[in-house]
Amino acid sequence: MVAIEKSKWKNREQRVADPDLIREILRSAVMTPGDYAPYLDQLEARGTTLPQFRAMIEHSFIFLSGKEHRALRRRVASFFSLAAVDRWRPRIRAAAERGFPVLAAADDPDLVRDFVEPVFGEVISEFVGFDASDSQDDSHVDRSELVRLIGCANNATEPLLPLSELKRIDTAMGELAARLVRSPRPEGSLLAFLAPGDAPLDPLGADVNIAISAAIAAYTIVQTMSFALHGLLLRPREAWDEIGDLSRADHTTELVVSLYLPTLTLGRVAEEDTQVRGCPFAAGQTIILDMVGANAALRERTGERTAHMSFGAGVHKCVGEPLGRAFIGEVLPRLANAFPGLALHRDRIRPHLTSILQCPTTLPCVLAPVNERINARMVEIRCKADARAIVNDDVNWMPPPMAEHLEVLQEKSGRDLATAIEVARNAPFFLAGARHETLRRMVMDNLGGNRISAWHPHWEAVAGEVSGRLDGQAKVDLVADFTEPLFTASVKPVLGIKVRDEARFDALAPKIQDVLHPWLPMRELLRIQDVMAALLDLMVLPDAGSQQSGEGPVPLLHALVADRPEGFGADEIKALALVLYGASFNVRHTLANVLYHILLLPPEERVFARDKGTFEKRLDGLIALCAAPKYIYRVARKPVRLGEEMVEAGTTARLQLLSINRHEPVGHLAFGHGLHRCLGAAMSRQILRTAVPALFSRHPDIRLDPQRHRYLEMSQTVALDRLPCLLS
Amino acid sequence: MTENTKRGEVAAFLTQRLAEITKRDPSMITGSSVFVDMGLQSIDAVLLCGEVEDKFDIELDPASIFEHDTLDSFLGLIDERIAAQ
Repeated sequence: MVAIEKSKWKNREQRVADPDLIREILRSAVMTPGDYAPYLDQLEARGTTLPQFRAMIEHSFIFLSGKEHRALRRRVASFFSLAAVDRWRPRIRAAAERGFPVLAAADDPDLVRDFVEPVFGEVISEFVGFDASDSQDDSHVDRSELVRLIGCANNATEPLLPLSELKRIDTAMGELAARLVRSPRPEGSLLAFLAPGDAPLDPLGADVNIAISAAIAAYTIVQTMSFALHGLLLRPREAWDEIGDLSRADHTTELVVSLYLPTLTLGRVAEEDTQVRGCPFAAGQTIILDMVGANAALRERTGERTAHMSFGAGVHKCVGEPLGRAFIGEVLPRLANAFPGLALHRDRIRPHLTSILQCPTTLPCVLAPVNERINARMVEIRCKADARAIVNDDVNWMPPPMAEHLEVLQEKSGRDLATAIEVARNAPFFLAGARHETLRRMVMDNLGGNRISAWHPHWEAVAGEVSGRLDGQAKVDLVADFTEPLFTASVKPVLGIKVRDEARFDALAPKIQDVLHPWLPMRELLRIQDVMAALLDLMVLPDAGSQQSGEGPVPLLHALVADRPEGFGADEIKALALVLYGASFNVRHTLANVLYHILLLPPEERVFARDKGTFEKRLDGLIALCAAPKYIYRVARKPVRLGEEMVEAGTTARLQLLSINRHEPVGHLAFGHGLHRCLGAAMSRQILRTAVPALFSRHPDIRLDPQRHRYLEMSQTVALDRLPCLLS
Repeated sequence: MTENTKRGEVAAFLTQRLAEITKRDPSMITGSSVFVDMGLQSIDAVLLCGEVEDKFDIELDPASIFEHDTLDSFLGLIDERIAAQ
């Protein structure tokens, strides 16, 4: 057999994505997964021996080919048959049911760590025969170590692994072998099937290493489940509700296996010169098969959302196919029934990407929209009804009284907080009463729904120009190259912000968003105050007489300077404009979140984003799911009932938009509600309406460079730092 | 300075400052005293944490006072931060 050329994975352009060609390549007897032995021989010649690794590839479904591979498949065929694996379904169901209390009791629950892995650990332990009894402790703790070992060994299929990783894999395989040798070979397990009786087992022998290779291959179940939960839970709530329909479990399985295939690519090498469907391949040539692309092509061709070739084809078709289907079909619908209100903390999901695999390794989540006391002074509100009651109750609840808080802090600490107080006194979301009413009217007279439409032509031009800049580029970052320039060109003119040093101002401005964090430490307050002072100093107020007459819409600052409301000096007008500019960053972050959300959808489901009409129907649903703000804060003016609990005056209610907005988009609180509804709501909606269709109509084939996105670490905002994409 | 004397120094400092903030006699403040019951407000949390940070050169989030609602529990957190320096 020929060794596969590992560097081929680096060249993205030469991948095969046509499903028919892929199927024929996988079926061709002269196309093999490549021989790993020569690679290990070279390592050995240079002093690195990997005994367990070598033993595993000599008895593995994944790495064997030809006669030995066929013999191995025949040997285990009956154990992996559909009928045989179906007999495991009750045990898989039981493992899932035992997994629910583990998840429910988890501190800061994570669906991978606290559910998928423990349930998989229990099933694979019994299925392969890694009996837990050798640890005298039947708790799932031991199985998390087993799952860690299998996950580590699963990396064996990665090309271009560093030596240190190969050694870790070899050690993990050795530990797995030792566990199997110690195992009492529980009845019905693969190990008992392969080696009945109690003759001692050879850790480097066939039986042990066939079992290891099966466990390694089965780890794809963890990756598929994690990737599916990521995809399903980031969709609107109805998608998760549908999964809970047990009568459609088979449909759910095919849908998940098609849409959420973690295997990005498979590699094959031609053993000799050959032709497949008219395509010539030279002996020794390595071919990379784009499996995600193939599934998308099959769905588009057949119009069937469940069309796929995720289990491959030919002699190397996945042996564990029945087990994968049984696990997904039994576990996923039951999880959806047990936790219908599940929601993911988008910005805390840790993506994992290699050249052959994409899946999240963490899925931090909220289990149910149930209020939770965070500490003695704060309650987190996740129940939508309670949240709406609070935002509409200005008698019992008020926005955080930041200005008063800072004034007392200044007096008690002796620190100069004058600038922070000035800004807080001009921040509508920290105010209540007459001053709030005046500020609100000042702003809405300029940014309100019907007045803001005067800016539409400007936003259309900006969206066209910024998306045009992406023409001809193969790789772009939709944050740096699209949402950021679009935001700056769209929002600054509306507010009329003129600055002496544009670059410095844009670099500093994002930092003021931290001011939303409750109970900021003094050192943070002073740091943010310095930033605010620097920003205010950079800003230049327009002259009273410089208001353009008749030349398009009037910027907010121009309007306020020209007709300065009573009791508002120049510094206060500047502070208000800065506050609004800081708040408007949510437009930019929400836009990036919406783009990422759309790009996560399968290609055939993104078409709606190209047209303003179809996009309009989905706008509120997208805003509800993708809004940048994480929380709305209210403080109790007096003792007040909250659900079943009486809370004291001064208690802070943190309305968690993740859970609240998880329900149907109608009545979402992304813009708040009532007296304190977001002043920039109309502007935000219009910029989204313009920017998203402009991008997708001009670049319909834009797609994610998978799993390379990164979030900013912000406590109050879901904000992407970068969103790398590929253009055709 | 041993860990015990350091902890003693922190405990003495906190007891003194809590007595002043809540206008109580220091002798009435014990390890099991509950901050919220003593009437500690969020402003006090920000101020007290700022002073502990300055005096013991550690970083402390004011919200942590309300997560460790007794003096002993809060002292434990400060111990950890000092040990981690």
